[in-house]
Amino acid sequence: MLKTKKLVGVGLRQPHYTYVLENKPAVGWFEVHSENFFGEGGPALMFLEKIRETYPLSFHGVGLSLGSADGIDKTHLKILKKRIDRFSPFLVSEHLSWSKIQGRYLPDLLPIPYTKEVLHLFSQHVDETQTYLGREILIENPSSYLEYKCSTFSETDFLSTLCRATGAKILLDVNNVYVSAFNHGWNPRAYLQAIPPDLVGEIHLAGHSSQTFAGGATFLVDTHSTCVCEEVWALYQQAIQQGIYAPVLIEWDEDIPDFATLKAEALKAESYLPQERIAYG
Amino acid sequence: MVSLLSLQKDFFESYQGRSSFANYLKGEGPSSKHRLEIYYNNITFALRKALAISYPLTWKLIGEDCANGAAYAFIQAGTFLPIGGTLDKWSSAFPDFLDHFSPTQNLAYLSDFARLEWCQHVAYSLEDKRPLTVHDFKDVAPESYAKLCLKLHPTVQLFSSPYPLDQVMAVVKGEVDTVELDNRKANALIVRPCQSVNIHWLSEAEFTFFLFIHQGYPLIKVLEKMENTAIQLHEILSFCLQKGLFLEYTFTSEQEEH
Repeated sequence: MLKTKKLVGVGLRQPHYTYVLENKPAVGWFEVHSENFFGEGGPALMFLEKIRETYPLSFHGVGLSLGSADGIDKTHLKILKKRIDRFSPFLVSEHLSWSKIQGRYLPDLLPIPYTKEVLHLFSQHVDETQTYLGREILIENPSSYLEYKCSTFSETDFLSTLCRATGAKILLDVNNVYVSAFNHGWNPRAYLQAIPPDLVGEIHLAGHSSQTFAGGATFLVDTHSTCVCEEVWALYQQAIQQGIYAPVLIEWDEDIPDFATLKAEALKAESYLPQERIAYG
Repeated sequence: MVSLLSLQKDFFESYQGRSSFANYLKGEGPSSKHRLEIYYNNITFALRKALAISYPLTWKLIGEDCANGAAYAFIQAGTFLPIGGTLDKWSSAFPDFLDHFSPTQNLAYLSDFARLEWCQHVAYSLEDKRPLTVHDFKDVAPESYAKLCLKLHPTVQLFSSPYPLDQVMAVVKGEVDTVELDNRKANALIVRPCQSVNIHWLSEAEFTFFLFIHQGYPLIKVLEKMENTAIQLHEILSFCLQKGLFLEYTFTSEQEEH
């Protein structure tokens, strides 16, 4: 295991498994998508086992669907617990979203309405998950492309109230803040100011792309396919100035570059941190 | 008050083009349509990507454009959407879908090739088990060989096709230029004894031998059933141990034999 616990980690994806094992790059930790390791055996688990010998791991889920009206998938939760028991990740996270209804799974992080009823239901599902796993989880603010008429909470109020009620922490994705703010005309700086620093357990940084439709309407899309943009770096600095300190992750999921590019992004994230905050634990 | 269940059911219906979801959204006009399209596109993109990951050789065989076309048709059919929060076990129905996908009907072997590839995909993430080696038999007395009941490694799958899939595989891997669609069928044994998935192409007799073993017959019964078949027991057992095809053995009693 690495002796220093550096605060900045990198999303681990299949093209980099061999490189990481052979070169042991100096990054603080790795985050993986939990569902990529739901198989019973095989090379993916073998690689993760070996990488875990050197680095702390974080499990980031995309398939639990905490916002589903008809409950969470117990089989999914059971496999997640088995993997947590095997790999002992220091963070386990999911999203403020839904993706499953009546036995059908739509693989995207779909937005939930921010209402009192949905807050109650989502809190129950977070409670159920934390009780079953026997640990705290983190909930990530989503990138969103639509807002519901029926919402009565702001996203930040909903997320903060949820976390206060359940003991969960916020996974603050700064890129998602920027993307959603652009798409809905929110003020991203005000969004960050509304996040209580004590609730933040992890920060995500990633790149996005833009999509322009016929007629000229342009939206930002959370593709995780580019470097972190300057506006997101500026918001990240604001978060640090607000006293938000938590493990920071560089995410990259599409058009994955060589590892050196990810490491350069991680070093840039580290360069904004005060010296005394570069390590954690 | 809007019911979350109704909202989520309506979104699902709208993804399948069966209803509108725009009434739930803030803002009106073309913007609502575009906003929803981003989600619909994300879902379809993720499903297409999952198919391409599960069937990389099929993608290579028919080319990305054609394979993506088949993927979109499979997804749009609507009946094959995933049921669990992982996509790894989804898409076993894709080969059956290819049986009826009109743009590739001239490739008679395509759906069987995809079935073979699904077997490889499944073997990739099954539970790791150490296969038997020759050392595991060192204490077995020669007179007991006939009573051996051999269990195949849990990643072993047996697949037979009326088409020469070994030839098709060789083309995909760039080992030969063309497929000779003779009337020769292909018999495959797929296995992952350690970390790599292997395909072994078998003769008709070898394939039958493995089918009997898979059905749980003791070795002596297998030999009885295959008495008119040209099979060299020593050679095939040696092959099995070299390739890691057995998980364990037991001995059958004389009573069970009869």
